[in-house]
Amino acid sequence: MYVVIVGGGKVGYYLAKDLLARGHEVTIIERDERKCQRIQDDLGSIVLEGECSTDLLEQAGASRADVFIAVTGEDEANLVLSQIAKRFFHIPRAIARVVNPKNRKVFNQLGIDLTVSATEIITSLIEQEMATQEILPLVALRRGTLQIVELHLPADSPALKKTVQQLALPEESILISIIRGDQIIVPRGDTAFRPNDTVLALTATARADALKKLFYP
Amino acid sequence: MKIIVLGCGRVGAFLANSLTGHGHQVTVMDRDPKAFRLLGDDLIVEHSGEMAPQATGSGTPRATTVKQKIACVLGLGIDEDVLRQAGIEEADAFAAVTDSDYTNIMACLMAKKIFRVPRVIARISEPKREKIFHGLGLETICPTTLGAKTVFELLVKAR
Repeated sequence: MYVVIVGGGKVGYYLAKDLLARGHEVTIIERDERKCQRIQDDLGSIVLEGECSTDLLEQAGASRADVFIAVTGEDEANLVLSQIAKRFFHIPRAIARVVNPKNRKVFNQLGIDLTVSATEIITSLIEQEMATQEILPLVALRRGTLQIVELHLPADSPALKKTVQQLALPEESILISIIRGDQIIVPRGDTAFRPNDTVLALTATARADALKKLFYP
Repeated sequence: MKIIVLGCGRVGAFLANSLTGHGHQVTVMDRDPKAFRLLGDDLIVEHSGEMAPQATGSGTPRATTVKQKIACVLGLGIDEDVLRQAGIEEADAFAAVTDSDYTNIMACLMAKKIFRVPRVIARISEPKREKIFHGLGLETICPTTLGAKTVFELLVKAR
């Protein structure tokens, strides 16, 4: 695969290093001279120095790239550059780094489906550890309209003593599996819930609240 | 017309004042509370609530203050909530004139594609980027080329 990365900071650098090690072809575009030098010294001649522009992208051979990744520290730049990559260079996949999780929705609305937010990942890891009475989104699909979620059943969950069949799941929701200790249970109509069960479900984002009500008091 | 001006630097402040002078209802947005001073001495700037963090890319909306004629909204121009607070849903026009091209473009894309503002204009300082942004369907103005052109014409005509 040929990958074009914009932003040669820590994220861009290690990303390139990793991708090279896996045998992919990589070009980094970075405006800072010292960062460019460091990349060149460590990873070889894979870096183009300068403010990312169409000229520079052309020089990088962006139109034959399979993946475009914008990982500068500036959300605005990542969004705009991803748009350019998609629209002008027809790169099939454009991934943008999002620093402010709030911008993720905006990116999706503006046509950048693939976003990576370290902030959001860390927050969700913390939430998972805290095991709050929340529905935890694990993966967002289809521009966030569909998601895979995790639910931890408390001792007073209204779902206890009920079977999957009796639960009356909201439309556009389905249970994927129930995790009980080390056991992974594929839910059937007669499967009953127990306290401390972890439930994985696929749901339309709009139905997530209805789903939550079935499991939390 | 209801017009939102993003960026209260020299360009933004001058634009806001001119528009107000022509009887338009103007709201100015900036992430720096001190920026609103450029709107003029006779206009008193007040702020309530906490100040927006200076860190890039983060932060949530803060204060709205209605001054005598121009409304000022403190916060990031690419934050949906701040834009809403500035009344973008009812705005007839949106002009992004901060000194960051990317901020201007992202704010204008949001204004156009998400909030459907009828008239949207972005200020671009790097001429090379201008054609790209036309491609994204945005109307842009590049003071760099305009300034250079004017000086060029003056020089050539002066001979």
